[in-house]
Amino acid sequence: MARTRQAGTGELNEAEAIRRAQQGDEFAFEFLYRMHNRRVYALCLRMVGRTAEAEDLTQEAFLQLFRKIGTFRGESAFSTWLHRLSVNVVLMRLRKKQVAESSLEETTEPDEETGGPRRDFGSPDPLLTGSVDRINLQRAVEQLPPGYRAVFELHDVQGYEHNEIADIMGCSIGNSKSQLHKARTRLRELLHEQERDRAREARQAAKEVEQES
Amino acid sequence: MHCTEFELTFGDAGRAGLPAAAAQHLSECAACRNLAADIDIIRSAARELAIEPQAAPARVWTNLRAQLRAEGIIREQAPVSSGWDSVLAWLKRPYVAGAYAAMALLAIAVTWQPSNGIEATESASLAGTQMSATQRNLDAMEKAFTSGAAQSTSIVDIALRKNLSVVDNFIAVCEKAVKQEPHNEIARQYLYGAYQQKAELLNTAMEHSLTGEE
Repeated sequence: MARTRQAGTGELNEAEAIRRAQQGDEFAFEFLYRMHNRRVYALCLRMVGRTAEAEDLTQEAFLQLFRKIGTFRGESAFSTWLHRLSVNVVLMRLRKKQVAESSLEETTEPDEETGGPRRDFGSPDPLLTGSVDRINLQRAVEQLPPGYRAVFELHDVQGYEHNEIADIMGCSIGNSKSQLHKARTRLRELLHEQERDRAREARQAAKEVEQES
Repeated sequence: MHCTEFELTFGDAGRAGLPAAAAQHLSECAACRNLAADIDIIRSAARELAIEPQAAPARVWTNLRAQLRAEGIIREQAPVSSGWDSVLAWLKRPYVAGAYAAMALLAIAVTWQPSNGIEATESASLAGTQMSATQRNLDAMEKAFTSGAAQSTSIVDIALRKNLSVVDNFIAVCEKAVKQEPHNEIARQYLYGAYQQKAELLNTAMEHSLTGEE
């Protein structure tokens, strides 16, 4: 990404824009926003899936950034700092939503057989080969805990390295690797659950056809 | 190697970076082969979820800017960054502002006789042909002035020529701004104002040369 831009009276680079933004210069804020909004918006969009919410989160991330820009001393890269803030903003939103949604699901959608939260146990996991498409995976990703989801999105979807994720998430590289592995393992379980659900529905449908005939 | 150990190693290194012991376990353990194959599938499908970075809609910046202003985080207007800004910067220069104010006062107080060509464009934008027509009118007026009193050494004529030079400079700055931002209505209005000032100045100059007043 270009780090400089012609600005009428001369070249404006990121460092100069940060310095000027720290003095409340509107043009500098806009320069920084235009430089970084694509990646932040893409991250938010991937994490929440809805454009209106992604826009809201992008605005929130930049607002927090600009509120704190006076404290930026350049110890880490500006983009890393911004992405850390963005991920935190998104995680906070996801965690709030998860609490609301899981409590709603548990009270209104009990499993038909047990009366408790819907869950399947027991059968050995066959291979997923051929059964994972974008929609299935997306559905499973949305069920991941926010922390797992963030690492999975950053590494496997967006292609960040573990050292970058560690910077962004404020954790160790080992922790990033561990979270990613747990995320993938959990995804595998969720995808197998989806397969079992589909198989059960198919059996149910077949049974109904048999009874009708 | 046990399955748990393999899982951790595989999660850490992936298939390509597996150490020999883990590779050996993989070849012997069906459950771990399934795990590795499933994770390969998940990783492959994940790449399809990636979306191209795209700019957030313009309203995000509009809302953000409004919020920043409301909170007092934005403290000043943007510095000079465009042709239009250079007009504002030019106007801020003290001697120019003084000269411009003097010309305006001169035009109002002495001879307010705007030309028909200028009046015709008063309510319209100064783009395209209208701008050229105005320039032609002004050139004709200036030619008439320079062929007459331009060589005069009277104090009034010298002051008029000096002010004319200032207005010409201002017109050049405004024209540049309009070229850079043709849809900027304010820039066009300033250019129109500059043309009008020049017309008034030339009217004054020509009237002065006709009456011969000092």
